[in-house]
Amino acid sequence: MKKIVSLILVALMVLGMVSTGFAADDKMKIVYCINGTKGDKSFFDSGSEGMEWINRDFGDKVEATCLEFTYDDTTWKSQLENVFMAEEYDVIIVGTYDMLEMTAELTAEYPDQKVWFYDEQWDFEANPRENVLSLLFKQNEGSYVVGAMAAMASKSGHISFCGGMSNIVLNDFYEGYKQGAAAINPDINCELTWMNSFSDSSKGKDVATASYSQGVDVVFACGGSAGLGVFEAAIECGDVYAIGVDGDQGAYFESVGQTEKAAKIITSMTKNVNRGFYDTAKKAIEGTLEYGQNYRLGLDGDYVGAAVTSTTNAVFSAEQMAKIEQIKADIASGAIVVNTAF
Amino acid sequence: MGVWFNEVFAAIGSAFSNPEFYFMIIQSAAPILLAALGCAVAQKASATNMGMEGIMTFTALVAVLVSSAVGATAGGPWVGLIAAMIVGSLLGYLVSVFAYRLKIDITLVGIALNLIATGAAVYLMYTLTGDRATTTSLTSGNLPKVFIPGLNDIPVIGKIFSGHYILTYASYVLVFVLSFFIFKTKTGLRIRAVGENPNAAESVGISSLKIKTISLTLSGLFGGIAGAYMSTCYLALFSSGLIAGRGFVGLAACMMGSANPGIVCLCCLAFGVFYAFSNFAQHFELSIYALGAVPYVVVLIGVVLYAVYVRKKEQKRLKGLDSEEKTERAA
Repeated sequence: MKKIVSLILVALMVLGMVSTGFAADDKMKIVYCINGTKGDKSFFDSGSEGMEWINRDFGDKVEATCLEFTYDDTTWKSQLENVFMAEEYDVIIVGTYDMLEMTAELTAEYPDQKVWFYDEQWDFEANPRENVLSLLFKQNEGSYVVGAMAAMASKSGHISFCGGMSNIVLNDFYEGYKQGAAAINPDINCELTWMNSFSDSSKGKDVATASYSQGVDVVFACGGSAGLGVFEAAIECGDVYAIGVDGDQGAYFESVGQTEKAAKIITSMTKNVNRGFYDTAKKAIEGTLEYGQNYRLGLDGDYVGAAVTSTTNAVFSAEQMAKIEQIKADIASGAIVVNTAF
Repeated sequence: MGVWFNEVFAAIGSAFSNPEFYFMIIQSAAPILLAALGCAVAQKASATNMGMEGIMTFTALVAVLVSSAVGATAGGPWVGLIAAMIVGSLLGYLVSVFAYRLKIDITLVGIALNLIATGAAVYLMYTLTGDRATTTSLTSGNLPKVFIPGLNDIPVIGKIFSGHYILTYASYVLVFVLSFFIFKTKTGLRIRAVGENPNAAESVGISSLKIKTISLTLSGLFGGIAGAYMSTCYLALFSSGLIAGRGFVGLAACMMGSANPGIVCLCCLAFGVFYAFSNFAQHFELSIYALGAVPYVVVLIGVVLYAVYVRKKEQKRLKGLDSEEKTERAA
């Protein structure tokens, strides 16, 4: 018995030495903490795709992994704390509004741990951190473009924004959308609605049905899985359109054979989280990355955009498409300044 | 404050003059009604089916998976509905096994079922489709809509009452079916007897175990229809947050209506009114959070009123017993 125990112990020790031996290479280790799961076909999937790109192109210098925290928000803090405590990673990527407070606490506790915080403004005056940088997507710029497209496609002059929950980022979407629509049609009626959920698709359908039946003919569905209900409503409500978000949802539905839905989605406001992560990692490798500041990623550099699908080409005339391209160029060059909720 | 009231009245006026509003009431009350009827049939046997939410979540996924496997155009949604009903019944039966054969507190069984079903649904969805949040990659289709000839051509009425999904009509028909079942059939009588006084029922040879098993299985069957309604009528997809508390609201509606199908139906319609209003009133300057909370606050108030009513009734009955005793003693 003693022999067996000692054998097991020896085996464990050898294993332990081997594994530390493996871990002690000098690759930069990046971990992407997803406060949800992969498979949302937009936001988090785009981010994890960015991790894949990093591994593909900089695999000799960087090792990027993903951790899924799942949607149970009561466990997020302890899970994030574990990642910090492990001191295993050079860079922790974490983000969104929900994670802001706990990340602010933990980054103060672990001042040597580098953190890339994305998709929410980091207030460097209230939380001055030398080890944090924040990546902000200028969703207002992309929303300006799709707002303009909504105004062009609308016959009734009545459009709406259907958001998940009222937070700063989603209000930033709305600000851009409203301004873009007003730039095309100053008299446009742009309604603001909320689903109060990111996961209840039936609520999305009901809110959108209510909007459509009140004369709205373009709805910007901006709220994760809940927004999927908006497209179902668009199919049932006749001659109306919808706009997708984060990923190219029109192209996605086309690729899985749901052409009826794809035909309703005139464009999607894409938020290229993948490109944001990839380029930041590139800067880190080149050594040009600076901590303690907000990076704002906009149309310039294609971090946000308006997707073009076959539906887009069918709905908009060549003249309108040229106008849309002009708007994109003007925003990228700074000729058009887009309002923001930040 | 005055401005706020004006906005509220404007919102009410606009919503109540829109036929789509009434259409949405009928449509959104139906899944809650199905859940509530399921809870009611169990409640009549004094078995509180807390697991309704979990049954709905799981069967909603089953309906989508089966439907897309069979083919959306090849009658898939129908097969999906039947599969959901079977799985729902099995889950209801499982609740009865745990609660009455293995003697675990039925409330705990329900809570466990809710927790397991959500996780199991996501796990099953991921292993079978590779999706984790929604089943958008599957084409599962809808059950047909019914346009009632004649009624369809009447201007406003047609818009409200015609063009619903076939299951929407079925859920309101089921109110009468269940009423008949509970109050007019032998099994219904036995269910009520077991619910009122299991010992008395046992004394005349009714197995309370058997009756409770039957009523919980039936309850699961209704849960299965409700789940299929959400994923093959309301929407043509499953997402992990799809049920969104409808099972619990159904349970509350069942309690409010003292498990009486007719009254339960009215409670569900009342919830539907406030739910639809919270969607239609959005373009008025009202607080979105207050609006979203209104249906649930109404449910809460309803349950409290019901509890007060039950207590009053109980006190009255006890007083009656008390005075009876006194007269007996005097004699």
